[in-house]
Amino acid sequence: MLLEIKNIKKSFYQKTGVFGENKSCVKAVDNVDLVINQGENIGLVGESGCGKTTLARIILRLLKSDSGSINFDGVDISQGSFGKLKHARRNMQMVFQDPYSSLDPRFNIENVMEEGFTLGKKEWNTKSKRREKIFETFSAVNLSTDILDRYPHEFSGGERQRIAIARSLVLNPKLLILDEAVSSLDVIIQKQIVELLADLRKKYDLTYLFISHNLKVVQRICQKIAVMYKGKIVELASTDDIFSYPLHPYTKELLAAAVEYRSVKDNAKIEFTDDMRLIDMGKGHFLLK
Amino acid sequence: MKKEIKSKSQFALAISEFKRSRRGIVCLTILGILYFGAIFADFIAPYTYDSEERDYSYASLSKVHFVDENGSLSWPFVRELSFKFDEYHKRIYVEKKDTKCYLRLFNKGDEYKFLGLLKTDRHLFGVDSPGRLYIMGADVRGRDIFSRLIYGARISLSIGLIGVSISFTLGLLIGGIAGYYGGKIDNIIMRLCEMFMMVPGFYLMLALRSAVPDSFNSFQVYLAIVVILSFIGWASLARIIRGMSITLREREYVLAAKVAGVSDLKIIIRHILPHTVSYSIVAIMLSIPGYILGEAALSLIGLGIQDPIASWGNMLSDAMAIAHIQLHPWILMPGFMIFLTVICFNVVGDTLRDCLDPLLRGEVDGT
Repeated sequence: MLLEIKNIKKSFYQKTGVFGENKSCVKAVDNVDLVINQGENIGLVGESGCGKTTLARIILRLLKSDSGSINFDGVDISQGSFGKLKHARRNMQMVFQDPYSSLDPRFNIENVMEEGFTLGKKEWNTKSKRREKIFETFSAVNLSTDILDRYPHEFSGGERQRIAIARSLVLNPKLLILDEAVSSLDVIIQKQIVELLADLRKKYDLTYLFISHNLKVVQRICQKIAVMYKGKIVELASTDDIFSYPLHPYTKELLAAAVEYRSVKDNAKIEFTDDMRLIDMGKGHFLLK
Repeated sequence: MKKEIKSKSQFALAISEFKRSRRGIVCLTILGILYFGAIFADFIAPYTYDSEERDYSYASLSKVHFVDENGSLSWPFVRELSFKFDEYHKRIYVEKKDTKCYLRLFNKGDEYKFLGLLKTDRHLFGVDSPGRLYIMGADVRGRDIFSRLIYGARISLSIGLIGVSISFTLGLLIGGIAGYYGGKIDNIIMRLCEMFMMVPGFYLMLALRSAVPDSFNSFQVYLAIVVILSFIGWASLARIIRGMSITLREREYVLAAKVAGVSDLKIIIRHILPHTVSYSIVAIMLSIPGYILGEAALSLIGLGIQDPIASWGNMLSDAMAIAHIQLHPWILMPGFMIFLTVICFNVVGDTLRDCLDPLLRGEVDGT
């Protein structure tokens, strides 16, 4: 078991009224449980605003959850200071959605890559060692090695995303969280990057948590899919099962929408109660009931 | 054939844009000349700042002769002056016909230490003693205003730079920290800023100046003024930088740096503050005149740099009486220098803003 999260809750409060006397509350992540095993890629799908990114940020401790526990590689990382979690943090990296803003425009590629080594400065203590590792990673993601002194604005979206992936790989992490990592790219580049991710997975023994709203992309590299809706995981099953026997009405809608290219219907009839739990419907197919 | 294309950072692009602006280049050159003059003041100035000759009080601009008494061309010279009083007891200077003091390059004059190291008495130019050369006239004690202007530039021009660098370091760091952390820290820092901004600048300056002991020597007073001026300037900058870093901290590259494990202070310094640079460079350029004027104002009312040390402000205090301006208009020269410097800094700042504008826009929109 690589990562286990239990009962994660996160709400955002908004003050309204002249003196902020009324607090309205948005439950971004509501009681989410998820287990990720080594080598088992999980796709997290759902519409915009359903809490996918918030969940990813909580796992990385970019946000603090209101309650719940996160266990990574046998260490509870939801508690304790950020600085003490070096081991967990270097084994857990993230690739962001927009390759145009995830690379600092004032940093040349060498600086970008050097930053990836921050948590492993002890191991990669000389510049030549780091240089060697950078070149190795570059060849793994199909980038040429003579780009170190160039700036992000000189690259195309696909190249930038490859640079971002290379940055997250230099410390050989175990878990890579891809937050809509291909969503902002065009279809052809999307396919290239997805193929690349599939290769990298074998080469570096990676596990992905692949966050996307696009079911097709997730289908290609994930063994399991978790469907998220309004802060809750409503269905969790193997990729084949999700595509062949979707059980939850929202999953069905999502699938239909992806195939027919239409928007997801208003799911006003889907309502949650507090006692709903993910229940095994057989063969590891979980449904929120 | 492969053409080598050199990578340019966005900042390098802005600099090449700046080179195309004639206005900006002219003003930058003027500033360059002024600063160059200030650095090599003791060599360029024909006299030291305290070299006085009471017999030449308020002497006007020296008349340089190119033709001698026989009507033939001669090496330029000036004549010694004698004076008599007119009916209003105003001095009238008359040239002594039989004297000739030749103008010399690299002549010997007052002794000084070149750049504080080499003891020498050579000046760029001057006249043979006992004649005196006044390019811009003399002040009440017969000191050369041109020389004093150059010496004064040392104080007036450096106070702007040092003051700005102190207050901007403070403002950038404090604003960056406030914006990046947000919450309580932000609240406390911003209320503090507002307290500073609430008090009118000039009164705060006077109040702080009165806290400086009288026993300070001129160098200590100089430092005190720098500190006072920079103490007033940081708050408004910190506020703006705070606002910018609030938007910048949500950028994905900041999150990426956090995930990579970069420390907070390093993120502020490397990822947040550099993105405010296009704003802050302009703000620096546009706020330097404020420091120069602040020093001039303090010195003018006698609370700043003390005579005989020259600064543009205390030189101007001579010009506070209308009679003096009427009779000896050249004592207004320091005012002109302040005007020139302030204009140049403003134009350079303005041009820089135009050049950095694409960046400025990029950073606000988030492209």
